[in-house]
Amino acid sequence: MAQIFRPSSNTVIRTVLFLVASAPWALGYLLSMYSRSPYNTKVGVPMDQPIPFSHRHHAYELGIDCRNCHTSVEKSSFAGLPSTETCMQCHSQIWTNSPLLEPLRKSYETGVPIKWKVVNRVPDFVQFNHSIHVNRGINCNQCHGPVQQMHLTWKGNSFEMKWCLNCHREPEKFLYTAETNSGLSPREQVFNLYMKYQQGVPLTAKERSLIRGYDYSPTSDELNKGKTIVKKRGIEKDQLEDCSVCHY
Amino acid sequence: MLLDKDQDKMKTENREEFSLSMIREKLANSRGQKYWRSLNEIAETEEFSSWVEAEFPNKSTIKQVDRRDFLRFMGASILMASLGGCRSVFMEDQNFVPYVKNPEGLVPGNPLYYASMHSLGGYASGVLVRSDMGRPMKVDGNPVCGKGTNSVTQASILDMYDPDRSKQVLDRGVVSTWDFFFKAVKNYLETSNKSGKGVRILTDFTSSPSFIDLMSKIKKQYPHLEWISYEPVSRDNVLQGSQLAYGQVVETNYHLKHAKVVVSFDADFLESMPGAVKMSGDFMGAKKIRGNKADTNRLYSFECAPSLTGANSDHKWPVVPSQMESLIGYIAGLLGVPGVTGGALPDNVEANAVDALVKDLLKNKGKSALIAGDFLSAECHAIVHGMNDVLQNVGSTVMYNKPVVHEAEKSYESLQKLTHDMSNGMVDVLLIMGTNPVFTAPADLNFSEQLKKVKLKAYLGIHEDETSKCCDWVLPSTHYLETWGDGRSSDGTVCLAQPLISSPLYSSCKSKESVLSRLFLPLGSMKSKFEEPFASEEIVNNFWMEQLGSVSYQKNWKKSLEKGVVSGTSLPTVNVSLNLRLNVRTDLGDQGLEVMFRPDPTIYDGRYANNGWLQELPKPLTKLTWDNTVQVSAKLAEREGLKPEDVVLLELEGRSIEAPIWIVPGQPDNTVLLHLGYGRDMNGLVAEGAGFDAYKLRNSNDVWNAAGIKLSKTGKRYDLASTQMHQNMEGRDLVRTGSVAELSKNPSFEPEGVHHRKPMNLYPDNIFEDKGYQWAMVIDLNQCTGCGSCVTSCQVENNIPVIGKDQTRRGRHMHWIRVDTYFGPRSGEANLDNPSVHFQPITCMHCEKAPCEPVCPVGATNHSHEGLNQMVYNRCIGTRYCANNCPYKVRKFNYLNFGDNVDYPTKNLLNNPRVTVRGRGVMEKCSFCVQRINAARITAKKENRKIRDGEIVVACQESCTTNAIYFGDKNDPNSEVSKMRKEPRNYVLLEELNVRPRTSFLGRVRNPNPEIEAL
Repeated sequence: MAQIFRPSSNTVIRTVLFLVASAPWALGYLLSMYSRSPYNTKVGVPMDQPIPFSHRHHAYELGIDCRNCHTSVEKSSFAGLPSTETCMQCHSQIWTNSPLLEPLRKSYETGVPIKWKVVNRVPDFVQFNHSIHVNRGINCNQCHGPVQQMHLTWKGNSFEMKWCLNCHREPEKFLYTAETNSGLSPREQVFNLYMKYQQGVPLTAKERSLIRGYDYSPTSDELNKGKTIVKKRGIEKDQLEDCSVCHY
Repeated sequence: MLLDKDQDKMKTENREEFSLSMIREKLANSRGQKYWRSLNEIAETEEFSSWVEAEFPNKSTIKQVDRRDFLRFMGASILMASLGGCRSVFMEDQNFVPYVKNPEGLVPGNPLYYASMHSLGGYASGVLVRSDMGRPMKVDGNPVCGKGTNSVTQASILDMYDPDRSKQVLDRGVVSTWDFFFKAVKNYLETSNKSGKGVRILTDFTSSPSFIDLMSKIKKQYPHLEWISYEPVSRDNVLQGSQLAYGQVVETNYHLKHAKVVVSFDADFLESMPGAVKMSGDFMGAKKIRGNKADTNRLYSFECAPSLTGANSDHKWPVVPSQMESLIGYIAGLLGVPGVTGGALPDNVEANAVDALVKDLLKNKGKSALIAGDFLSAECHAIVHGMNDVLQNVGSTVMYNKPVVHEAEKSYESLQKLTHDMSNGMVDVLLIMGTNPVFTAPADLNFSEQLKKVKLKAYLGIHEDETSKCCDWVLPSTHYLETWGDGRSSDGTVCLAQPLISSPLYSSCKSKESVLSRLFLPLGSMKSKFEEPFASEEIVNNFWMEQLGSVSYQKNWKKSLEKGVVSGTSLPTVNVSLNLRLNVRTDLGDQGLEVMFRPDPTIYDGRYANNGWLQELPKPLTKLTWDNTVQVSAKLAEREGLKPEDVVLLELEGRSIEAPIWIVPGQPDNTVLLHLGYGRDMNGLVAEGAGFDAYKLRNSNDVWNAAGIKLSKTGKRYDLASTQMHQNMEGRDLVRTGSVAELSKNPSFEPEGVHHRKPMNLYPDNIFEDKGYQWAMVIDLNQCTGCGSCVTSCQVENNIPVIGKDQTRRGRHMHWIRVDTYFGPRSGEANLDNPSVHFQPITCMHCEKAPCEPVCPVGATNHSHEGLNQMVYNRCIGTRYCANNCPYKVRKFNYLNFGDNVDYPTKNLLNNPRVTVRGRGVMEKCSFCVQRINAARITAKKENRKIRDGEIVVACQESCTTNAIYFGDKNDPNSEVSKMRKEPRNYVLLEELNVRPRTSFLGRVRNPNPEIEAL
């Protein structure tokens, strides 16, 4: 009778044992990869909306200021979503027969609001305030990604705590003042940059990174400038790292 | 379950140990221990020690696990924890729903404040309501009307979101519509009687000028229609007393700001009397002490039912209700009040003491105030008016104006007449609105039986309750935050109410104004710009347009709405002349055991029975929650051999109830105190099964005090949930008090023999840099009345869950701030029958060297750079080590997902969006209202300035009527809080531990009459 276990069985058994033993780790690893993947975090995935609204068209091609629709972004924690009435300011005059805008007109007639899908969201235990970030000169795209390039809006960043802390620990990396318009307040700097970009004024590498919302390692000169801004604006870095700044 | 059995066994063992005579003996021999919190503490029962020894007693409600199960759970936990890291795996799709039209003045995300009005017993008080994106979120005092609110006003917002509210029109239990109801009543009016004969409208008390005007218009249309206003907590006696003294009914207003001596005859003017918010502010405000010299007022209190006023008095004598009149007569005799004869002192009041009191009063003519309680007889009130007159207080501390509440002086009389009419078949249509007579009417009237003889009976109310069960039509009523209205405060100033929500939460709710005008006024009698005829807005607007004149209306109406008050509407002072002729009844013979009926300190007359916040608010003196009890004195309990939680049978004139007893130190002997409002038979999850119904014993001849009640043991027991024993501080000198004389010698009131507490220190002194803002709190015990409005305010602001009676009994209550009650000696001697009472609000102390921080294995609690002991909920894994290590016992653990485990549609509307809703297994505690700190910081940063002193008002501070709580930056030498920290009375709790709390206290200063002390 032939042997049941050939020498190769050893290898097979060892491999199986190894696989079984490493299964929990593998599972954990896969899960963590899964949870960080765009499939789950939706980073970079354009989201279907009831009306296929294009930020690229409105904000870049037409040059409408962010604050025209997101009215409370400088004033409150919530940036604000345009009411049906706000959209109808223009769309009662132009594209009045577009089938894409049918939900908008219906909402205006019936008084039932449009239900947009949430693209950017922090968990319930995080208290985020738009107004203070904008007032301190943090660019919209720093968090939201290159919004002016998005047809259907997608999420620019994962909004993980680690990512928030990049800036809360080293704000000097991200703060910026335009050389030509240094007299503007931090808040105005934000929107001035978008205007420059929209008008096609040549931008520095730092400015381009702010517009694109991508990672950028600043030069030592830029870093020093950032540090002076931190001092000038009285930003307390210690306090920025306190848990209760965001969690309460 | 195993555990419950254990508990019961433990209970029975203790009950053998609990002996009042032993307690008395221990108290008499006590030297070191000056203050005590509960009888069990003195008796040192096993039950008590089990509470003290365990941080969270009775924590093991699930089965004990063995090692294998433990490992199994551990494995699962690790897997779950790693999945928890992938939070967005479980993140569901959410929708953003913007407005169709932007509301005027709203910045999405920012709160809006509206002035409105809350009324209780017909008396209006102005409130300022915070609205978050269209949801009313928090009710606070309107600064135009006075600072702070009581708990009832704070919690009243919960009733609007109550899922048990009456939501639809019911016709004999079948869903119907308003139109059918209107048709039914109108049919009757048209077919049978056009003058309104046989139609009765029974409403709650009102002082609303527009409603009174509306009713007079209706009376013009239907001259025979009758309007009765009735509430169980009425002030018949009070107003009739002024009739006796002055020959006219007047409203009495006390101005205690400049009163040097105040004498209270069973008057709870610090908590429950109308206008108490203002009176407590004025009275405690005059107690404000800076430095070590005090020029403060003095409060004498003769008290039948133990109350906060008695607790805050400098001298207190418990007096049996039947002897009150002769006592008042006696003092009137000493003061020389004309027309009053007779009077005698009760046994326990010394003549010398009363002489000293009278001397004090005569010394302060025009600067004293004598106040008689709402539940004393009209004669008592008349004599007290006479005393104020003789002491020249009228015009300075005591003011009179016309009564503001409609016919409040004859509320019981008219209810009696109505019942009489019903029994004679004279009533065909009865509309009951906002009052609950079936539950609250005196038992001998037999209201529910008589109600059956009425052909058409309808009930408009917030809840389906006892009365609605006896009515044909059940109509849903709007909440006060959903409707327009007006009302007068006790000096006559008109407050305006405006809705905080664009339409009622449940669309079919209507206000009584709009229902009545729809029924009884011809359509089109008002010029309507509203979709619905007779909207409450229209009624109020039209009335005030007539009153102010259209020019002034155009100019002033918006301003009045903004302020919440119509200026210039306070009623003029009435001139009175004393005309008393009274012979005081002194020898009443043996009255036997006397019973007192009083509104409940938290749920009032029962209308807030379905309000979880109020049910769970510990009652100031007993710290009981979720129940009312038969309150008795220690002596009575001793005589009858009763222990707390024993169920007794009470019999009064053939009616009887069974209820558990509770021993209250300081209650007059031979009395039984019953609080009204419990034992509801209503459609409400919260009210269900809470307490017993004391209304069942009441008689219409004396609704507040009655003699001859019989008490007998039943041998049964009933579990009560008192928070008094939770979190005990083991008799250290936590609450510090002293007299005015001691203040100049030893202003810190530090007891002798504890000077060795200079803290030892292993660690560097400065553990973090003392720069920027450093938040601190100071609580002035001399200003605190112990009312507990801070507890409710904190609960509303910080989304603190209600946990229920069973969980409270297990010591799991979640309040971030609590008010500890301590009983102490009177005149330097331990006294079980008349102890002094002290209150101490305790919250997280935000220790600079917080012991909770180093023991947390996951760093979920740590220190911010501004000195806050921060709690990171999403990091907390629930080891409870921090709570174990906290010397002040202020950390609360969420055992059963209290905030989230009951699902009801309005839950998400109710929560404050600025504060995280905590889940199960998470530790939580006072955060110094960090959401408000952050909001102020953001505003300041945007305006490029520092946070101003007083810009941050924390929730407990906001609701405090007496300014007992200060909060601010201790690094700013000019801030109020750093000045208070430098006061000589300033002390911290458990200083010897060297944890350096950021919350400090100022000792309480009593101002006893030295002549009485010397007796």
